[in-house]
Amino acid sequence: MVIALEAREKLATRTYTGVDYALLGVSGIIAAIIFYAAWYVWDAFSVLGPLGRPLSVGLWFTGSMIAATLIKKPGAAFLGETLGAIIEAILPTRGGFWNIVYGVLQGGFAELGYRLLGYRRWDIIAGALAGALAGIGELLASLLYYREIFEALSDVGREITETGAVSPSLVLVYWLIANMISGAIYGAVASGAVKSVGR
Amino acid sequence: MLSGSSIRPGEARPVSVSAMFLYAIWITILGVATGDPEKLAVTTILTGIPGLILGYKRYGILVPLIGLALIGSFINMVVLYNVGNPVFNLGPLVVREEAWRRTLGLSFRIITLAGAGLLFASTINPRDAVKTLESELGMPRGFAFALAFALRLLPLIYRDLLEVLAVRRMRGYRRVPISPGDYKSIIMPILSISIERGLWVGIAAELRGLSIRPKRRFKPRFKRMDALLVVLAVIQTLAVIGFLGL
Repeated sequence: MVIALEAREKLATRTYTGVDYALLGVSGIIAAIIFYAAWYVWDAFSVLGPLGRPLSVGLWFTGSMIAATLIKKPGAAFLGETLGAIIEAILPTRGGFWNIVYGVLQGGFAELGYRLLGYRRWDIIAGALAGALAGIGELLASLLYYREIFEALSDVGREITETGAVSPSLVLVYWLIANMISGAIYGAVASGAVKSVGR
Repeated sequence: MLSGSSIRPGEARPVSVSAMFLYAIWITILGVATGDPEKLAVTTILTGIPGLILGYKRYGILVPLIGLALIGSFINMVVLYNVGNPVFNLGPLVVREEAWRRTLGLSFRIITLAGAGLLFASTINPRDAVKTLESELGMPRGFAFALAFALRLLPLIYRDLLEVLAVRRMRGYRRVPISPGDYKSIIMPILSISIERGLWVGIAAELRGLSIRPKRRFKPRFKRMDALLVVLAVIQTLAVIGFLGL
């Protein structure tokens, strides 16, 4: 009887209600507005070259943390990021429907962050971890979209390797670290902002 | 007698919402599947450029941004991959074959993907899109509700933003937000109001039986103009898989 009650309680804490879906909508539209604005931030910081990346890219991961901190249920990080990306595609932005691929991958990896913490923590630390992991998703989607640049970069790297200066994987490693740092910072900020409004 | 529920989303449009959605998705996949400029030229001409032209009216701001991305891709390629035979001179800069080829490939991809998105956004109303995604393409009901609610929230958030800005002005704060504190004083009230609104909308939806509402499913019904999209999609697919000898 106790086990059945526990199972029922567990199910109730994991099943999405109308309130959860409405909050998912709230997080989705706020994420989409941030994503939309992020294109301008991205362009502004692109004058700094590769150094501009960690300053802006994490903005695109915040949908996960907003949704997860608001809803506090498994799947929220994935759904929040994906929803934000779908709205970003519909609004639209210059990424078109490929934004959805970014959203799915980033959301999936951010969800992994909350999963690793056993869906027990929804605080700033969890937000930072999820944001850092979302950077891996961004890298995977970018590897497909900008593969000409990556190929060029790795060939340049190979040439430089022969002189013993840089290895070809260094660019990818920089890209990944920049993504993860940016994601962790913006993830923590997004989680903190949602927590501070009192839910 | 006609009832409101018998009217299907996007009924009055020349192309069906489902067909346009599937077309935009398929062209996006094709755009990423290849980096060959000759093949991508076909998707650029048939989808990218028409999308940019159609989208320019409503989303004019995006077109210069796309131009900026193209310039960025050119600079990247010239810096990273300027090898091979010279193609043309840009002042003192000699642009070489590999840089030019890769610039074209990436640029055509950017135009194709942006064009497909703009084509969809400029021909289809977002609300029709959500209704169709749920009723014809099987999007889960709860997720469709969240998406519809999010789109409904957009004008409300804009109204809230104007109110917050007006209050800031009345209190003598600077008009253009600069510091993180300025942004915080704008974002936090909007976030707070939106969460409160979401909470009560969710409760109201649940009280009205959101979870037990029967799901309306329609078979996707295509229109005559959709055949044009199918023909365009087939031509572009053949081009990308190399059947047109490109």
